Amino acid sequence: MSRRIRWLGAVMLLCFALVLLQLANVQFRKAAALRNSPNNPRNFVKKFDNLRGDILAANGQVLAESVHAPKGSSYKYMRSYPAGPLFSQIVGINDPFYGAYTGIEQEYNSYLTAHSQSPKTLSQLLSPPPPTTDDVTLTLEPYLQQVAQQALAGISSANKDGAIVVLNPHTGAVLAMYSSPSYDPAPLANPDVAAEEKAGNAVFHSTDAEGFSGGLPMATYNRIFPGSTFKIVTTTAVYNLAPQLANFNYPVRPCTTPLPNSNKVICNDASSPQHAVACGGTIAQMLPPSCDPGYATLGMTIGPTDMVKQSELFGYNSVPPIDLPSAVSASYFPSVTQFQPQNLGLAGLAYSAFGQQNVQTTALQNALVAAAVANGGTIMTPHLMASIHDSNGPLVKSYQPTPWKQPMSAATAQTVNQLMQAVVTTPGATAYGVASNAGVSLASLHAAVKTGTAQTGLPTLYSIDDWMIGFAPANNPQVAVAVVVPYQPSNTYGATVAGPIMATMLQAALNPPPGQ
Amino acid sequence: MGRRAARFDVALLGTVLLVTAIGLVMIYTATRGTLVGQGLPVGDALAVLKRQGIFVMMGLVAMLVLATQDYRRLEYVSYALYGLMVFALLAVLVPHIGSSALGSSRWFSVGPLQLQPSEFAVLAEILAVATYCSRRADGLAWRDVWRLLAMVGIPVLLVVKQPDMGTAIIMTVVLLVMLAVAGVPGRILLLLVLGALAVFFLALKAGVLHSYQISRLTTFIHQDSNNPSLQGAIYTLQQAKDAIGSGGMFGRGLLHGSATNLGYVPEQQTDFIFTAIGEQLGFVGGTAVLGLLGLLCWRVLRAAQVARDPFGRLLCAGIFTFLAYSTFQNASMTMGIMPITGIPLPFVSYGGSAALCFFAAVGVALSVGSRRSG
Repeated sequence: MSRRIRWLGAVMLLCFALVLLQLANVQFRKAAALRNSPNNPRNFVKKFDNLRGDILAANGQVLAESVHAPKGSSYKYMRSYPAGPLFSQIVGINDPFYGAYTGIEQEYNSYLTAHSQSPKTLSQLLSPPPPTTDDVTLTLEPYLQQVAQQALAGISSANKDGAIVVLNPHTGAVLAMYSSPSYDPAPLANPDVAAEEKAGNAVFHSTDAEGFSGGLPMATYNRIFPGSTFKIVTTTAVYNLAPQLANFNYPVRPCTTPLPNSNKVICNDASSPQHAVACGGTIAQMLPPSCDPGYATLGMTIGPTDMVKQSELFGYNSVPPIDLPSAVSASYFPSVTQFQPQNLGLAGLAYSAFGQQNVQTTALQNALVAAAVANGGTIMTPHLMASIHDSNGPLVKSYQPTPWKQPMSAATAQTVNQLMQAVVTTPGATAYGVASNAGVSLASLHAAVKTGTAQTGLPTLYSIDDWMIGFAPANNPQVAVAVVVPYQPSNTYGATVAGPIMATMLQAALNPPPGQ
Repeated sequence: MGRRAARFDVALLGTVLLVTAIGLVMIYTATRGTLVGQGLPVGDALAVLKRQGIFVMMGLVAMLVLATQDYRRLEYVSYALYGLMVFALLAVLVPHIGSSALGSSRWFSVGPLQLQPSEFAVLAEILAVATYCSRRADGLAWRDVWRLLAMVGIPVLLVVKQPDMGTAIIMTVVLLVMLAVAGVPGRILLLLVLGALAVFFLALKAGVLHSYQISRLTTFIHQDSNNPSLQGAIYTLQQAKDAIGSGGMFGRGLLHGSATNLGYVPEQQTDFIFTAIGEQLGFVGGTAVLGLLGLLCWRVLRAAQVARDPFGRLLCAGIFTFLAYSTFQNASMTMGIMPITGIPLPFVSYGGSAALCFFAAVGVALSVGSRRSG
């Protein structure tokens, strides 16, 4: 018995030696690997324990800042977003626990987080300055953002989803960009993991009845049928790439003849010839009333090659290079091969020419189309960052406007500009008489616009995507705007739903309140 | 009496008190951050410590009472205690009598306190097996081995049913070691070990165990697996190793371990208390605690060696195995070299029933040691 007890002691010693060996292994040999492991929670807690720089609106209003965490919290700081849902889709979140970094918080993370400063003097070279954070100032104007939010909230139908983009056409600066639905970022900045995870699921993994998510800004992410706003692209194609068609003249009639290799006809503002209103004439006569059969025929006459080329000159099929890290989509126009007879054929091009069939665009892209016309044919790179200052004040970086696309000549831009003015000023035109809810008319703002009323083809009451794009004042454009209000009742039009919002936005942008 | 007092193992008693004190400090540090984080005032963060303190006091009393009594009296009540233990293990499975938590039915609620009969099952097993073996002066035959297997098998099955795999494993190991010390021939022992392993692997394959139990048992050999069913256990192990690994040579200091303060390690105050030691006290602290527990085990083994009769020797051998295996298994699982099981670190982990049981076990060992031969 004693011998076996001694054996027991020996086995115990062996086991304890093994444990000590592993203890040394974990605490010394593997310590560095464990310390640097992405699974080590300490690595993301550091993000809560360090200050980040502020994100500011154009007028200096704080949109994101680091504040002391509540008493009793395990962290030194937490992120605060004082403007809430108004800016959340652009400012984004810095949420280490949920693993979500979005918007400006992600795009300019290297500036916002503490980073070393390069020495500027000899003494700093010998004694390096402490790490600093930078503050990022955006181009967004809070009052315009608020007007956009209120305008969408004021939509008369039950569905108040929509997006508004306001650009400075000469610099590409985004002055306002608001989408509904949005989300409240406050719960996502909560260091309480459970609360933050619940909020994260609500924001990023749920959609409203129309399929839109607060976590994905409609303005840049969702592609929507542009409807007749695409006629600006088709019109531009004529003057820019096919000038021989400048005198194109479509006989006044309610519908097209049957489309090539098809028995379909396209009727104006109706699904059947009995209800269609006859339209036609020159381009200048067709654009103001937005003559669908005329533009369908014009698109087929221009041909697939130039239609594809012109749409891509405007930026279709490319992701706009805005300074947002994600949730920015490329707008879509089919390729030349897709218009071959075995695919969509010329009949498909007829629909595409007035923004139906397979054409899809974001509000940002459509604002860039308007901005191109407003800026003499050049699309400036859209951007949100205006400047970056270090926390002590000195300028670190400021944005320098750069062109992105040159979709047309200045002369063509001038021609299209005048055509878009006629959409407002010509009696019977789609935007004639349109005014904001406060009674400010597009005409009084000297606006140039184009309406869009896209049929989604959905068998529901809410089946229309209402659009308006434009700029003002037409003779010296200061702002370019896109308004989209998708899934509206089937008896609505771009002019009746998006039109008043366009007038409201132009009025606010051109007449800022004192001090803004 | 004076001679017995002189033989009282002060080293064993002192080691138990020292390890218990370290345990209470560790329980406080492992629960303070979470309780304060829940919004409790710092004063109320002592709540868990106070509850454990009550059980420690009760345990100390039980230990001293048992240490001063003649352990041979236990032989007369051992089978009765065994019967009571089986009855309690059955009762705890009955709805409305036993209470459940974390998917297990292991506890009796007594006011604000909870008692876990399976913790006492190991002690009752040691008493019953020691009694049976010590009464077979001519050695154990196959027939005796079968009887002992049945005697221990019944409570083991009831414990598995709860489910409490950790206690079932300990009971099996304790039986095998006690049989070895009792003189069962080596070939029979080898067959028993192989049989126990076969039963274990059959249980893994036959769907007897819950999937989370299989995950916990197999994670340590698949620590880098992408298998979704293992991720919960891998996460726990990862956090445990991160905490210990951050301790370095001397640790981050009491209340300065971020993994401990922020509650990164699941069940840290109970099964993963060694991570609090590793992070806050480092290699030096971890080695010291393991050394103290080793010393404690060695003193119990010493009591087995000098025991005046086979009953005392078998009792101490069983208690030694209980303490030593619990220490080895608990510390090893936090560092990924043994499967994750719910086995507490003796005198250190939070848990009232376990504390009572460990103190009682050492009380018996002290009694055996103070009544040694010669």
